[in-house]
Formats: sequence, C-alpha cells, structure tokens
Amino acid sequence: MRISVKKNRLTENNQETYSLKVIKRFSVMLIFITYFFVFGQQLPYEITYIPLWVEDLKMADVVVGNSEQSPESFRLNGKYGYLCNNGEITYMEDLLYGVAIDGNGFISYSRQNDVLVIRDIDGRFLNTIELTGYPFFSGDRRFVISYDKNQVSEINNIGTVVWQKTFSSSITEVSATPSLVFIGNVDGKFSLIDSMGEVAFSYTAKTSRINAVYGGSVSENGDYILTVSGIDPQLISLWSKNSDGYRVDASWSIDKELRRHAVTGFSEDGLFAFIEAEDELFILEIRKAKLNSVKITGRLQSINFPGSGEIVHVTGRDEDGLYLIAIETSGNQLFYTRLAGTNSMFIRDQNKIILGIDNKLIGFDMESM
Amino acid sequence: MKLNLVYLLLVISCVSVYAFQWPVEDVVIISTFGESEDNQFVKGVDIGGDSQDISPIDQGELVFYSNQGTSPLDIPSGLGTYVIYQHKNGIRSLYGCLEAGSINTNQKQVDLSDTIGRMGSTGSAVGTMLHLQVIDTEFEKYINPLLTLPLLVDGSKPIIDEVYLITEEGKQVINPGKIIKSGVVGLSADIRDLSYGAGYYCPVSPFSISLFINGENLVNINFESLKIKDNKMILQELEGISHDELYRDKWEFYLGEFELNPGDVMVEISVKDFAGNEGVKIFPLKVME
Repeated sequence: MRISVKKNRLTENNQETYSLKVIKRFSVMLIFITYFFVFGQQLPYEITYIPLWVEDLKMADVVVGNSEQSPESFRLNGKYGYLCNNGEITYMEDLLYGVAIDGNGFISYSRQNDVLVIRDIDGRFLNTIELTGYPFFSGDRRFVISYDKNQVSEINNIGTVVWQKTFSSSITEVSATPSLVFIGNVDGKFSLIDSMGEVAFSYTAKTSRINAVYGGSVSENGDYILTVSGIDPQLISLWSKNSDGYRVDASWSIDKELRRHAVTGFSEDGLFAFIEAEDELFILEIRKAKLNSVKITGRLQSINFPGSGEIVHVTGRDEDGLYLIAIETSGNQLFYTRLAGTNSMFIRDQNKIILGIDNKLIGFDMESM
Repeated sequence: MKLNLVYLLLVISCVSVYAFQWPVEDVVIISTFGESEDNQFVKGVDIGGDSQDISPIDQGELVFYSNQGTSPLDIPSGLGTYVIYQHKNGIRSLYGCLEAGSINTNQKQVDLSDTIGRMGSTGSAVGTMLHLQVIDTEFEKYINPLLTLPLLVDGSKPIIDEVYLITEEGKQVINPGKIIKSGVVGLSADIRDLSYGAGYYCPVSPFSISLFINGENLVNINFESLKIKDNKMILQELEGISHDELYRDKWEFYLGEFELNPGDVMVEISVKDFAGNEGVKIFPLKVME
C-alpha cells in the first residue's frame, strides 16, 4: 500500500479547466511545493491527492451569487465567506472580530454588539437579533451565548428567541444536532435541550474530586451522548438512550487530564466518535465500545470524519506551527506532515478536498484504491 | 440604626468566612457585582487600570482554562482568555479578559504568591481589565467578591439623582412637596456609586438600596449573591429580583409598587456602598384624594 505521487498528473489531467487559472495567479510553483511537501512521501495506504487549483485570498476574484454549485463556508486567516469546490469564491469579507457561519448564512460580529445581523450566503440582509452576546452555529441551528457564558439562546430564522437557558456556572460546551443540543457547564452539569427548549435529559457528575464538563456532544439520531468530565478521575463516558433517559454504557479514565475544552463529536455516519484530549485524539468505535488513540499535539483546528472505511483528516496547531494528519478509524496514522503557516482549514466533500493555509486555498481530488 | 447594625454584622460575618486576598496590587473597581451590563447582572467585579500580574485570591487548583483563539472549534466567549480555580469550602474563582497567552496552565496547584496571568482585553473587554467572579459551588450561587476580599477604604458616598413616580399616565420626576394623586404608584430612582480608585468619573452599582415610606422599611435590595431561579438569574435568594425587574435603565433602579393614601407622606431612599458610606434622599409628598 502506498500513496502514489504522480509528478506529471497536474499537466495531464483537466489542464484546460484549471491550469489557466493557476498560471494566471502565478501559483504553479506553490501547488508543486505544497504537493510534494504534504503528500510526497511513501505511505501504507493507496490514496492519491491530485492538486487542482490554488487561490490566494488576497488576490481572489469574488463572484457573488454566480455559482451553480452550493458553496461551502470558510473562515481563514482573518477572512470568511463561501467558496465552491472548484475554487470559485462566491462571497468574502474581512473578519471584524468573529463570525458564526454555516451553509445557510452568517453573522459577523464585533467585540460588543447590541444587535446581531443575520445574512445569507451572498451577504444579503435576512434579519436582526436583539441580543447581546456572541453568535454560534451548530447542527444547522443558531445560538447566542451571553458574554459571561451563563446563558444560551436559540434563534430562529426570523431572528426571534425560541428558547433561552440560564445556568449557574459557565458554559463549557454547546453542540447541536437538528433535534437536540448538548450544553456542558463547568460545575459538572450537562443538559440535553430539545428543539422546543425543554430539558430532555440532564445530569450532574459528582464522581470526581473536581467536577466539571470539559466537552461533549450528542449523536445525530440522539441515541448516544459523549462526555469528557471531571478531574481525578477524568472520564470519557459514552451514554446510550434507554427508556429512562440515558445511561453510561462505557467509560474510560484519561491518564493525562486536560483542564480546557475538549473538542468532541460523532462521525457523519454515526458509527464513531472522537475526543480531543491532551496530546491525544481518541477515536471511539461505538458498537465495540473500543477507544483508539492517535498522538496529536497542541489544539485541533479542524477535523473531517465521514465514518466507516473512510479516512479521518485532522489539522492541528502546536508551538511549532500547523500540521495535517490522515488517519484510519482504527487510529492507524496514514501520514503526518507539517504545514507552513499559522491558520488552517479543511473541507471535504466526497472526493473533493479544500485545504486552507493562511491566505492560500488549495483544491485537491482525492482518489483512494 | 438597627438596620445599620445588621448590615455591619453581615459584612463582618461574610468577610470572616472567606477572607481572600485581592488578585492585583492596585485595585481600581470599574464595575461592581449586580450592575446592569448587556442586559444581565454583572456576576463579579471588573478591575481596571494599567495591566498587572494577577495572583489567585486563595490557594487553589486549576479547574478550567481557555486561551482565546487557540482553536476555531471552541465556543465563542466574552470572557476571553480565562481561568477558574477551585478553593476550599466549595468556592471557585474565575479570572476573565486576561492577556492572551499570559495564563500559566502547567501549574495545577497555585499559592497566594503565584502569578496566574495578566490583566488584558480579550473577550468582550473594551479596555485592559480583570473580570473576577467568586462562585459558591455548594449553594450554586455567585457571591459578591467584595464580601470575600479585604475591605477597601472608600471616601465617597453613593449618589441618588432623580426619583421617579410611575403611574398609568407615565413617568415623572418627584420633587419635595410634590402633590400627587392617591393610589398605587411605582417608584424608581437614578442611583450610582462612584468607582473606588478610578480617579475619574466612573459610576458603579451600590451595595444596598433601602426604601422607607413614613418610616416603614418597605424595600431592601442587597447585592450579595446571584442565583438561578425558574431559569432566571436573580438577586437575593428569598425575594428574588431578576435583572429586568430591577433595572429600568443602566442606572435606574425600580423599587416597586406602593399604595399611597391621602395625607402627608415621607419617602426616604437610603443607598450604601460596600464601605458603608451612605447616601440618603428624603422628600415629603402631599397625597390628595
């Protein structure tokens, strides 16, 4: 098994469709450099990443509302917007202070706001939200988290508050699916809120010397909850739904405890989950309740996890800069490479990949055999 | 007099229970506990001035930290870069808006002399500051940090500006001797204390507000603790006043609804800051049929 690096692939395939654009931007060299730097190594898996295009955010042309494809949202290096997997940018703005963005629209916000403005993917005004706090999108839903992180509100499409929950300690996690929202608190409590704002389930962990929820999420179908909680011991717990609510199916004690937010989530097919720990990324095979470990450093910047039989792509950042890892769901690392930059993003749609490094966006076709 | 004694005992008892240290050397209070900010109660105190190193208020253990901007996968936070420590008796302290990268996350156990970070302007802070919260995890409430820290000697007394009468006809300023119609009326007042140590005009919330009508103490609002009740953050556990019930504006406090009967009525509003300085406004009213 190897990764095939085909030096002349760029000039053989689809030259007419992408090379003119690339040459126009004087970026052929960058493609080759990135290609060999990232993928130019022998690996025990036969995947081919074929670079297709490169776009420089500083010089990119923006073709507003002129795309036939549904664009993906991006946020990279002080800019945000939408782009198609052929590299066409359909909307782009400079970041004010922050942005909440997904495939349906965005809210750009400054450090302090009295009113938040919801815009569509072309930047057109949709509605306003009269709430103070920072917007946060998850699971195709819109939330506003109060500045002091004690209150979370769900906002509907016309900008009104659907429900609002106030907590007696700081919120450490908000993670949503279309039907449920997981909210974790630093006092060790976590809650599942349904789409009407009712508490579907809540639990306060009291089993550790110090109680706190560091991360958590709920599966798309609502059958499983994943939590990272407590100090001494710190536990990763997998909860499954039963007639009374949820019960712990399995839990694992983490040797190297972390005391910050732990990014967690489920794979797109719902068969796996992932947990960002200290210097480790855990991949959980849910049916087998088996935890696989991958060494990582620093903080996760992005993770793409389609599911069974698919490759997991992870970008992270540590003291030495950015890196990219491709792993199997078993935890077997396929490759690891450093990226020259400080900000990254990773988007995958089927076999199309967009890797962002600082001001550069690079499109790839991924072929695996 | 009796009220003053109760108040003094309360302050002394609270101080003796916790007795923590100030987290910075030069204390400049720019927002106080229970103040209205962003349509919410402030759940701690904001300390301004020049950037300083921060020490924990007591020995403790690191519970949680967040370094702003280290992962785009973290939820957004107005607290910016912040740390939370666990102390004895179920007390936790939170230090927010710190300078990015200044927090020491490797040191899990901290002592009084340790530096845990530096004042900054991360999160929703618009200037250099420290947002300090003290949380009682046992009783699930936020405690006014001033109740737990050494007393500050403050020479200025709180100011009571306008007092308003709220009726069906609207809101009007009450002046001494004003003639009003009998019935149920609402009262509110513009109240503010002056910041400790700021050296410039910086209004903050007082520590307590009392209302007397004809010598009868009808209202006592104390900014001691905040707790969740019915999904709302409330001031004072027993009576329970929410932010929207208390604040009509940033500095306008709603004191309640009262039935005024015909005759001479004496209204007295007494406001204290945490150091015990008292501002009083007394005005007679003539209530007609």
